[in-house]
Parts: sequence; structure tokens; C-alpha cells
Amino acid sequence: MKLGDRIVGPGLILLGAGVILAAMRIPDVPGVRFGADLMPVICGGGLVLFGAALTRSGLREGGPWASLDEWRVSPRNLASALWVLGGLCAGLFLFEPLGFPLFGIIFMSGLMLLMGARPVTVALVAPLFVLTLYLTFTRVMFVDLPAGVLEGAL
Amino acid sequence: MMNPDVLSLALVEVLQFKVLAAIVLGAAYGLFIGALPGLTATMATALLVPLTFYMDPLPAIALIVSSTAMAITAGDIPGVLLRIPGTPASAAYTDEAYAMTRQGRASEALSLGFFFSATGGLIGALVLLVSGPLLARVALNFSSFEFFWLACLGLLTCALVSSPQPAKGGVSLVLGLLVSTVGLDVTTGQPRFTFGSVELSGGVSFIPVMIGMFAMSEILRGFSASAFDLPAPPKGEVYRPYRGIFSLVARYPMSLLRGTALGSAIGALPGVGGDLAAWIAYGMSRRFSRTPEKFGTGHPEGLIEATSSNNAGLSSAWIPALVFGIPGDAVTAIAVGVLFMKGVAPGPRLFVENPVMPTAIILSFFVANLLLFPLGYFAIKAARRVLSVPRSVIVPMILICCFVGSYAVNNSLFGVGTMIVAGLVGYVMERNQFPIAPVILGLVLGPVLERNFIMSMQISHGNLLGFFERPVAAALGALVCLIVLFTLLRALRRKPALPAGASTIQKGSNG
Repeated sequence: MKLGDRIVGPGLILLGAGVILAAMRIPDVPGVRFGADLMPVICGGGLVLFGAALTRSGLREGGPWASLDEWRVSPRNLASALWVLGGLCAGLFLFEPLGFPLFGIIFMSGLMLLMGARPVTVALVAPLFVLTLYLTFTRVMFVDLPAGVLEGAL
Repeated sequence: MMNPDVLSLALVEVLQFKVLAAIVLGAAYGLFIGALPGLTATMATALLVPLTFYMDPLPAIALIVSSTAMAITAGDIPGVLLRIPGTPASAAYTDEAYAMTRQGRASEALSLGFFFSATGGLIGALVLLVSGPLLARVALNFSSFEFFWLACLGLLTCALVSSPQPAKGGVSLVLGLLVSTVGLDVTTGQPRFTFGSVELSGGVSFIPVMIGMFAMSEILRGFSASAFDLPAPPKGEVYRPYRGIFSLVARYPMSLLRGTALGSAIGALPGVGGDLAAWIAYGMSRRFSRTPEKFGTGHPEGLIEATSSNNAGLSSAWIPALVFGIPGDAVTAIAVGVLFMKGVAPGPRLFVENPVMPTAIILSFFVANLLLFPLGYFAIKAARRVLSVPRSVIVPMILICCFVGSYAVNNSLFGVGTMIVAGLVGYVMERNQFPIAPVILGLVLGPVLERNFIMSMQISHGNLLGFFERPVAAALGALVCLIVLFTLLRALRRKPALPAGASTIQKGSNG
């Protein structure tokens, strides 16, 4: 997604102003002259300043306001990208109830198929890779990855 | 000078099995990632970080060092065989290398890439070994004022060199600094921008941000630009690694020396890193060549200079990271973050209080670069096979690693959410020519900058002239002010760019 500087610049100015306002609401600590608000105020100021610079250059240079041209791609690429975004977001809710092995295999198999892998390759690679990763993390590095519905089976 | 006792103790540390194993595994992994177009060395490093949680500091850093060195070097493989640079650094000489391939000299191009990269890396490591302790001794006298200006210099230079538009580099940097302020304030302990969230009170970890911005955004970019649809590598040529390499050394010794000297010097500048070195070295090689007309036709001279400067810069980029605690690029920012996680604070005190650790880290560069010679042999032999691994297998594997790596930071889905948001933000930023490296540098260096700034403000009672009272601080401060002034003047004088349809050269900054 390409956005013209004429959109990005004012957006940054608004963000910077919001940051400054939010920072000024941080309560002062008695006896502390340079408190928790100083750095965020400087950052907010920086955003306003750079936003103004981008607005200026955007107005001088013109060009399109916004463009989605790069997404004029094959349906396969578009579907893969949507699967990645949708799958990762769904993972936030399904990862713990389903468990890493099952979620990982479903997510990986779907993406492999969408990207054009042969079903035989998918059937071999996805479970093997996910289970190897699961066992490495849980048994070797002692990371507590949820087993979910396969609890007790692994 | 380096203490021989420290050197021998450090050598014993590096020659431990777990460190050597980390170096070999890191190199093999770096070869694989670096050889695949679109997957950068920084992305390789970012994906490794979750693994380092469970390692001692030295093997963890050795793993990062060797994977980066190999990934940067292996970035030449797709450049040579497909005319697609594997890393931004190798983009400087891709056309030259591919011209050799078209002449049936792919083996020679790959051989000189590996050989001169390793040689450059070794010389860069030597510079690091000699200059590190000397600079650390000087830096011991630094106060918060000097560290504040050094951090400013590093951040400012990184923001400026990573984007053709200084304002865009500045936005990236400020965003990184802003995200670093989330959580409890470093001095007063007050919550900032936490919105009542317990997870945000602990701050935003740089690991999921980095994984999202470098790995996930890269994959989204690949889908959008069809970058995963690659041509097949050329067939038929017999690959004989390192054949005739010494005659090239004898023919172009000045290219090797100039490339490594330039790479070491540029890499050591805080905030610049090694990427830029290859571009400047290639241009300089052409400028000083007796046969500049041969450049672009498959001439090895420029390749030698650029590849040797590449890895020399990679080694010397660790000088500001280790000696001052100010990382020079995204990879060293990640490594500094890993060291902090391990309770090792890089900076001049480390060279005094635990000199074996920084020396061992530097020695791991020697081992990693020495290993490039034999591993390069196999890499050249296997180059075509690595490139033929389907993207439909690699990309899903990387995404699963991104998910698990972000989850493993705190065993919580908050890390995964952070990674997704950072990936989307990173994607939009890259599509709009906002560089990513300054965000990571700002995020890692933010607390260092803020702590030294607040401390300096308290010491000088809020008088900004106090920041210029000490000689070194005054010199560094003046340099920072000059850079800002120069950039402002240039931006004000800049003529408007050509309207839509005109192309702009966009150079990557994320190794």
C-alpha cells in the first residue's frame, strides 16, 4: 500500500500532537524536574517536525494520494497473503485451545497448498517440520508451547 | 595493547565445543537464508534470537556472528546465479557478478565472493581486536554527556544513510524511540502509554518487533511483488571452487587492501554499519582502476574490492557496539539486545571488568570467517540446490518460526500480536520508503539515550550549554549539530523530485 506524502505528513503531525498531549497528562513526580514526559514530548515534537517536512515535499511533488497497485498480483499470491494475515490473527485465538502442533500443521499446510506445493510434499513436510519444532522447543529448550487437543498424546 | 593472558583465556572460551558448534550451525543456517533471494541477513539474525534465550552469552553471540557473516556472503549466490541480490550489500556488484555467469564463469564469481569476503572479514576482525581495547580505555573517561552524543550520532547517521529522504529516516527513528518509551519510565518508574495493560507495563520487547518488521513484512512484500516467482539458475557449468583464486590475489592486491581498509573504516562509524561499504568500495574501485571500461562486463576487480569491504565492514561495525554500547546497524542492535538480555552490558566497562568476554566475541569472528573458506567450498558446490528449494516450503516454515519465536519471548500471545502489528507497520513503511533499521536501532538505543539525556540534564541543571563543556562531548556535539545543519540546508535547497512515473533509487538498509 503506497501512500502519498500529502497523506502521511498530516497523519504524522496528528500522531505527534496526540503523543505530546498524552505525555503532558503524565503526572509530575514531586522533586523530579526532568520526568517521564520529557522523552515522549521530544518524540512527539519530532513526529510533528518530520510530518511537516513530508507534507511540504508532498505538496511540492504531487503524485498519487494512495495506491494499491502492488497488489495487482496473481490470485495465488493474494490468497497466500490473506491466509498469512488471517491465519496469524486466528492464531491469537486458536493457538492455545488447538495447541501448537495442530494449529501449526493446519496453518503451514494451507499456506503450502496455496503457494503451489504438491499435496504429497505438504503431507510429509508440514507435520514433520511442526512436530520437530514442537519437540525441540518443549524438550530441548523447555519452552512451554501448548499441546492443546493433543495434550497427553505428545 | 591486548593482554596475552586475556587473549589465551578468550581463545579457550571460543574453542569450547558448544561455541564451535554454534558457529558451524549458525554458518550453515546463514548460508541457507542468505542464499534465498528476499531473505536478508537481518531477518536470519532476527529469527535466531528466540533460540539464544537458552544459550550462554558467548555461544549466543557466536551464533549471531557466524550466521550473519555467512548470510551476507551467501547473499552473493542468487546475485551471481539469478541476478537477484540476496542482501542489499551484494546489490552493489550484482550486475558485474552476473555478467561473469553469462560468460560461463559463475564458479569464479562465487569463489572470489567467498574468498575475498572471508579475507575481508578476517582483516576487519583484526582491526576490531586491536582497536577495541584501545578505544575502550579512552571511553572509560566518558560521562553521560559523551554517551548521549555518541548515541545521537549513531541514531542520526543510521537514519540519514538508510533513506534517500532524511525526513523518512527521521520518522523511522522517532517511531523506534517512541516505542522504547512504552512501559515504566527508566528514572521515575511511572507508567507511560501502557493503557492499563500489564503486558505493556513491561515495555515492548524488541524481538517480536524485529521479527515482524524484518521477516513478516518481507514475506508480505514477496507476495505483493511476486518476488517469490524466481527464474531457474543456469545449468551446465562445472563448479570448481577457488580455482585460480590466488592468481586473482596476486593480480589485484590493492583492491583487496583498499576494500578492507574502506570497509573497516566505514563499518566502524556509529550508525552506518557495513552495507554502505560495498557500494562505496565498488565505486572507488572503478575510480582507481587502470581499466575502468571493463567494469560491468564481468570484471573481477570491482567484485574483489566490494566483497572484501562488505565483510570487513561487518566485523568493524561491532566496534561501536562492543566498545561504546552503541550499535552500528540492525544486526549489531539485535546482538546488543541479546547481550543485555544475558546480563552483559556492552561498553568500555566490559573491557575492564570482564575483558575475556569481548575478546572471545571478537575471536569468534576469526573462527567464523576462517570457517567461511571450507564452508564456502561446499556452498559453491551446493549453490544451485539451495536455490532450487521451493518457496512454497521455505516461506511457511519461516512464518511458523516467526510465530513460535514471538510466542517464546514471554510464553504469551502478546508477543505474537506485537509481531503481527510490527509486520504490518513494517510492510507499509517499506512500501513507502521508510527505512526499518532506524526503528530497531531507536527501540534498542532508546533507553540508553533517555537515561544519559536525563542524567546529563540533571547534572547541567537543564542548561543545554552544559552538554558542550567537556572537550570530547563538545566535539561530538558539534559534529551532531553540523550533520543536522547540513541535512537541513540540503533538504531546503532540494528541488522537487520528478512527478509520478519517474523512478527513484531505493536502497535497502537491512542487511
